[in-house]
Amino acid sequence: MLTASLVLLNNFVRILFFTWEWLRLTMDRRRADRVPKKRTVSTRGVPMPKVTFHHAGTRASVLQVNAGANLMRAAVHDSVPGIVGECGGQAMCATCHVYVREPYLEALGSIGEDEDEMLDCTVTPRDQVRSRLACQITVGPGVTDIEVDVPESQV
Amino acid sequence: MSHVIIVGAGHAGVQVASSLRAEGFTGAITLVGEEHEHPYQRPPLSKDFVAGQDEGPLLLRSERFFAENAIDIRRGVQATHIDRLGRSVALGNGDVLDYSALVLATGATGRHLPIPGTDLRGVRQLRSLGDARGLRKDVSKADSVVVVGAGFIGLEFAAAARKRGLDVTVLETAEKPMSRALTPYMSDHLTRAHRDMGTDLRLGEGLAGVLGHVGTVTAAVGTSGRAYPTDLVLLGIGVVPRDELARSAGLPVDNGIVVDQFLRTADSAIYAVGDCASFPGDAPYSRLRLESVQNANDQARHVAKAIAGHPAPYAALPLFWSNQGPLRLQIAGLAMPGDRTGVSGDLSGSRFSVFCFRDGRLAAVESLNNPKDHIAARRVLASQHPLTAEEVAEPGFSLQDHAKHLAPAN
Repeated sequence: MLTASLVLLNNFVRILFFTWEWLRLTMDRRRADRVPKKRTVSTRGVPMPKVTFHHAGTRASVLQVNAGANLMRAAVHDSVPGIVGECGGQAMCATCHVYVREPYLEALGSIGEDEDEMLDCTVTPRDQVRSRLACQITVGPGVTDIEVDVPESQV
Repeated sequence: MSHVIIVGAGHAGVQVASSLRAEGFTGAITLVGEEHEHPYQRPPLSKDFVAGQDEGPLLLRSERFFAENAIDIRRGVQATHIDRLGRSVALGNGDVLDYSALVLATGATGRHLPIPGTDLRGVRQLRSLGDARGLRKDVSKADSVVVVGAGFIGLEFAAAARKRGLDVTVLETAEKPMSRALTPYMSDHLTRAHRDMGTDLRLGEGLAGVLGHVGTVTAAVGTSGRAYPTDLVLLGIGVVPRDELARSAGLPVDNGIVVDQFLRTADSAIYAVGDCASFPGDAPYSRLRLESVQNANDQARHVAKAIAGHPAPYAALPLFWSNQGPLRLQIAGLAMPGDRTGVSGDLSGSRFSVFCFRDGRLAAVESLNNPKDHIAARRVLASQHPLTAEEVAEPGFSLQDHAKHLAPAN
C-alpha cells in the first residue's frame, strides 16, 4: 500500500514536472516567434519614431520602431536592403554605414571612438558630417524621427 | 524543375538561400533548420547577450524576407537521410523532398567531454540561442563561474561575466590561450589583459571532474586536483563538425565534410559550406575547416553562384574577430606556428598589430583595438602583391598608407 502510494506520488510529481517543462518551452518558443508588430502608436499612446532609409533609384524603406530601438537591428529585422550588420553591432565591420540627413544629425549623440575609426574604413567613402554606423544609433529619447541614405555598397 | 535544398539554417544556410535569389535563381528553395528559432546571429550570444540585457536575439533576416523571396523555411525539423541515387532528402517529420542541388550547412556542435559530473545542473555549453538563454538565466543567479577552455567563446564569455561582477576562473590545458589560432605575442597579451580584468586564468590545467549536490554543480575539479567552488561551469572546449548526415550518405568526411575547390562533395549535386566543410587550402595547408562568420558567408555566396551557373574555385581571405570586454581582436589571414612575427604600434599598451610572415611574405595580421590596421591588412593581403618582411621593416612604413595605394578589397 505504502509502495503503491509512493509510486503514485512519484508519477504525480513527474507529470507536474513535465507539464511545467512543456509550458516553459512553449512560452520560450512563443516569445522567440513574436514578430515586431506594425503599429504607429505604442501601447501607451506615445507616437512611435519613424525611420526612413533612402535608397538611390528605388523606393525608400520606412519603419515604425519602438523608442530605444537600435537602427541597425531595426533595419536587419526588417530586411532593409544595403544594411548588413555582419559583426552583430560591435562596431567592428563597418557594414551598416549610413549617411544621416542633415536635419536629423543634431539629435544624435556624438560619434564614439570605435565608431569614428570604423567610419574611416567604410567601403563607400565617409562623409565627414553625415556618416554614421547604424549599429551605434539608438532612436529616442530625443530622436523622434530620422532619415538616412543607404550607401551603394557595404562589403 | 530545379529545387535547392539547404540543410542548416545558420549563417551559412541562410546566406546560401539569400544569395541564390540575389543571383537570380528562380527555382524552388527549401531551408531546413533543426532549431525552432527563427534564424539568428550567433556571435552576439557569447558577448552582450549573456551579459544580461533582456533583449531578443539579433535575427539574420526578417521573417518577411523568407516569404517575400519564396524561401520555404522549415524550422524545428531535422534532415535524417540523403538518398543520393534518387536525389531526395528525408526529414524527421516524414516528408521526402527531391532536390536538383543539395547544400549541407550543418555547422558544428560542442565537443563532448567524457568527464564525470558534466550532466549536472549548472554545467553548460554555449552554441545555440537555447544554450544562451539558459546560460543567461544561470548567470543572473550565479556568483561565480568556471570556464573550461580559453578559446574565443570561453574568453568572450569570461569577459562578459566579469563585467557582470561574477568571480571567473578559466581553466586551459594549453600553456597559452588560443594558441592554435594566435601568435604567442597576442596570446600572451590576452593572458595579461584577462588577468587584469580580474579573471583567474589557469594555464596548463584542464577539467578533471565536476562535483555536485542534489543534482546541481558545486565545484569544478582541475587536473591539478584542486577544487574550484562554483555555481556555474561553462564548457568551451571547441566544436566538432556536424558531418553525420554526409557520412551516412557515403560522402567522404575528414574533420568535416570533404569538398573540392568548388566546395562540392564527392557527389557533384551536393555542396558543403561553413563550419562543417573541410576544403582544400593554399600551401602549407592541405585541408582547412574554419569556424567564422566570414567563412560561412563567403562560402555560401560562392556556392550560390555555382548553383546559379557561375562556378569558380573558392579563394577568400579568412577573417576573424572577437570582442572580449575592452579587447577588440581582429585577424586577417591565418597565423601559423613558426611564422616570423613583428609587432607594430603601442607595444606596452592595448593597441597594436602583429604581422606574421611566412616565406618572407606577409601571411596574416592580428590587430588589437586597431580596426584601421585590420581593414588595411585585408586590402594588402587580398591584393596580388603580398608585402615582404623587408618592406615592412623600412623606417616609416605604415600599413594604412600602403593600403591606400591599393584598390579596395573585394
